[in-house]
Amino acid sequence: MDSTLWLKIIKVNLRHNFLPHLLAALAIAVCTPVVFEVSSLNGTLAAQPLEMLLSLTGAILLTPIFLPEQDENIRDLIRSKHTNYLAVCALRVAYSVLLLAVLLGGFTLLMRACESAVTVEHFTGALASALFLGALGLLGAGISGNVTVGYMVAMIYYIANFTLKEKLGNFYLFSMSNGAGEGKVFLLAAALLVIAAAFEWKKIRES
Amino acid sequence: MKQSSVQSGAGTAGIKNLFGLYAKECKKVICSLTFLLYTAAIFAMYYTQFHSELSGAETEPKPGFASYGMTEREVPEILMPRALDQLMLEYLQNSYTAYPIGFYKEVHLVEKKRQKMADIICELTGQTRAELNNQEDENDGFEEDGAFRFEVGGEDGIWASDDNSFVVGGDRNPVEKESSHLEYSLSETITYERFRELMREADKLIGGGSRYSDKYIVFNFSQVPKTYEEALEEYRQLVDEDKITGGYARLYCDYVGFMLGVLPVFVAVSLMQLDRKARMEQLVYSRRISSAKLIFSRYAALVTAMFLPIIITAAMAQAKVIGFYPDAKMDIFAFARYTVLWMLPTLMAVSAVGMLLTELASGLIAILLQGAWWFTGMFSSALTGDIGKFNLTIRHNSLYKLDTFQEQYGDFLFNRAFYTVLAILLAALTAIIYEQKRRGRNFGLYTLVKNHKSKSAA
Amino acid sequence: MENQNQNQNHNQNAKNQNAQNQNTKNQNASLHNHPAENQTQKQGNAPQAGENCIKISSVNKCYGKKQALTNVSLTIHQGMFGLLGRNGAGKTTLMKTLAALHKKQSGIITVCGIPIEQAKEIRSITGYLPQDFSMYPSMTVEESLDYLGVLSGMDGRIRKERAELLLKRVNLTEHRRKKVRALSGGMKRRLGIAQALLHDPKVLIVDEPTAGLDPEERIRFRNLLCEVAEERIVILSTHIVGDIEATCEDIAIMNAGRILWQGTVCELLNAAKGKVFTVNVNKKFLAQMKKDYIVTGMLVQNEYTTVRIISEETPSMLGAEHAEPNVEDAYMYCLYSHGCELSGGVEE
Repeated sequence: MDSTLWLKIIKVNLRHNFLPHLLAALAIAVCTPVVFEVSSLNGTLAAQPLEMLLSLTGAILLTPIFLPEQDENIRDLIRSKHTNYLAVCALRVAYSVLLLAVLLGGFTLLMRACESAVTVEHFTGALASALFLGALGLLGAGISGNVTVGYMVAMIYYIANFTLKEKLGNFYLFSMSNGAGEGKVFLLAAALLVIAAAFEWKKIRES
Repeated sequence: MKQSSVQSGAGTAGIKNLFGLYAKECKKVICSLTFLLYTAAIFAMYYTQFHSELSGAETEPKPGFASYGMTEREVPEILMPRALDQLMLEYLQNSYTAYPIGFYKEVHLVEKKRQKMADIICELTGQTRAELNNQEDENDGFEEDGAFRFEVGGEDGIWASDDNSFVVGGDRNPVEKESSHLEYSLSETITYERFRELMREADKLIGGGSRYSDKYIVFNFSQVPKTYEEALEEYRQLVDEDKITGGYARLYCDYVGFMLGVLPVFVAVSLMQLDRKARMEQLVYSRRISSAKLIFSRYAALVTAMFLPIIITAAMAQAKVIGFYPDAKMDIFAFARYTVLWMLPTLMAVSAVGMLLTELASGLIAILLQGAWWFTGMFSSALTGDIGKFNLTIRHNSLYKLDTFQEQYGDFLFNRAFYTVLAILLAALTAIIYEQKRRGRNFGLYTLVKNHKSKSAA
Repeated sequence: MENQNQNQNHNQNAKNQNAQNQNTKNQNASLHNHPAENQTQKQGNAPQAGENCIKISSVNKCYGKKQALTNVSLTIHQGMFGLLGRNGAGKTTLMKTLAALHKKQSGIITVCGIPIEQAKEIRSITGYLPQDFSMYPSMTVEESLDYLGVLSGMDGRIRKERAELLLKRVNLTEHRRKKVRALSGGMKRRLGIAQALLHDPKVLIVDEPTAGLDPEERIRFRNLLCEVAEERIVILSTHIVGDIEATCEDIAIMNAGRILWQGTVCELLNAAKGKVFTVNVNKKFLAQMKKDYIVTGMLVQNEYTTVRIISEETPSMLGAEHAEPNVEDAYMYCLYSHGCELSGGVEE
């Protein structure tokens, strides 16, 4: 299949399946400066808005990847087509991650412009946290076939980060806000693994 | 068969029928995956925060210890100079720390507000504006980056608070007077009442949530070492007045309430979406049952089902506490009283919001809005002593401080009654909207937007 | 490795698609050309020329402990093929397996020479219309056809031409800008058939196509299927016997996951010849009749009821007459003669 067809698939999906979630993620980004200070922050404080609020955008963008075909009849119809259904889902993951990166990157740059001491690590660390949260949501939604369950899984894990804190070890989402942040590579790898697990589950389940 | 025996009318048969429906809705809720997750989360919260963190009975303080910890005590002689020092420093740097929603925020005042702040300081110190301006000039270039910031990972903040709580905000160690080259002192004529009034004004200028707010001022500027007598008094209060279980029940409610401020929305959303997902909507719409009966059966099912894990964990907590103090006289109804009075209204309100917004707009919107409400509410109230009339989730992150709680008991009761009534009103509104949809009226934000669009297109 | 192969397939497909574009330019978007046939031949899956049939042998499929298909063997040739059976007989499972949506546990299936395991190739020559067709509700008719065309790997211009042609064919041209959620049941079905034919498949699999349609819609739908069946394999599942009667030549009857019977409609009717009777009975004997015989029809008159029954032997009561079996009778007789449990004429 040539690239124009893939582009078309992206375009249609962005318009029909992705837009409300993108708007919700943007709403969170817009609200962040209201809740958190974003200017003249030192490295640790600057991680707070990125990790503690913007990481939620990951859950918002990634959890509904399988949502458009939650209805079994639509799913069967889409799966009966020549183009691999999971490839379309992977494409959704790809552009969601890309837009997530743009969103977080843009916010990091905004903080930099406001003279906060943000670095590339802030950006990648926040992205890792957001991806992990999103991956959990995606897995929850994928296994249950219900996107509400996906959001709930992500939310419970998010709350656990306030209550269990460092006890979560490398899975602690707010580690940079706590002055650490070494575990982010681990978190990123785990996120990719969880996304892969969600896809594998779908693959096994659907056949 | 006669018609009347097929469709039961009013009277006992009707009530039986309604109870049958309620039981079926309960079963639907309990069998749902979201309920399972909710229950798991409540139990996990109980185990990680309450069960495993309490290792044994509190012991009676003995005299002669070097320290009994710190306490907040409103001592004007301590509070006033410390607060003034802090305000002066922040004024000179024009950089004020605030926690409007519990998270760190740095506020810089515009010139007009800065002038008003100058007036406040002049009144506090008894200086003229000229004298204050002089100080400003002397202080030029005085900038100590981060000196006044709430540092993460220190004594305070969400990460390492001593009682394993998850507080955000608060600055327990007010900065000592570092700018010793500055010359000013508290005006001798100013009364404590006037002082607090001015501080309130200053807080208003900063935009709320500053160190000078009623919420934080004592916490920030009047921490004093606890005396033996105070420590003993605190302990006696727990044992004698609270009958032990009272204090533990409040702590339990504080922890579990954290979850209860948001998780029920997921269970409510998934129950309300069930019909649509199963394409049952039309089938249900066409039945004889009134919308009010249907919605309130569902609402009652949601609330009672979700209250079960609370009852169970509360009973477990109570058993644990009884195990700590085998011989003490206890109030065995404290847990029951607090869970019903404290937890139930939160549960009712969050469930009702979930139902209403799912019917009105969509599940995603219900989750987003409730999430936002929880997030802002959760972190904006202080850990204790900040019940307020309209906070959805009430915090009291301490075994002690019964007096602080009792002082605000009126607010507490008002608050809970308010949310109970609000919850029932929201459920009633859901029934009204459900009825409208049932009659085929497009009711829902999406359809409103869609209709508007199609009209403007035409 | 696998990826590489896939990529090669992609390229191959793209090339074929281009070749196909050329073709269709010449043919002015004819309804019958088979891109996938070219593809598969080039890719070396080489079906023998003219092998235009589906072969199913000894297929088994389980859902957990429940056996959904047991030893199913069938050969389906070009034209309309009807799959008849009760609800839950395994028709939908078989059809989903043929559309490469379900994996079988054992047995062999080839569709036009392509083994069913090559899901990608199978999907490009198959059009599938699920029992309960639905599409993203926010899309318009046109948009959803276009999107599904993209998923079938069709080029933009061809998509447009085919969509236009098919919308006209299924009488949806004037509703092309309507949202899917605003379509009536019949319109939705028609959109369903249009999308299934969009990429001009060699095999069309239609699950319970007429359920929920009004008589007029149903007839129109049947005729449409007959037309498109002229040059392809159309598999139609239904539990509405009238549909089969009107459209299919070859049929198979399924029960409890097994193929009970396979043959032509004529053969089915012949088998039931001499086994169908009509008899006039008093109303008070009706209950007894239902207990003793398979009742396939009743006509209530003033004093008595004319009952249509199935019986191996001529019933002993007065006035029993032989009747010419219709497909419904024949179907019931088939179930009956194969030992299926039927409850006194109120089967299903």
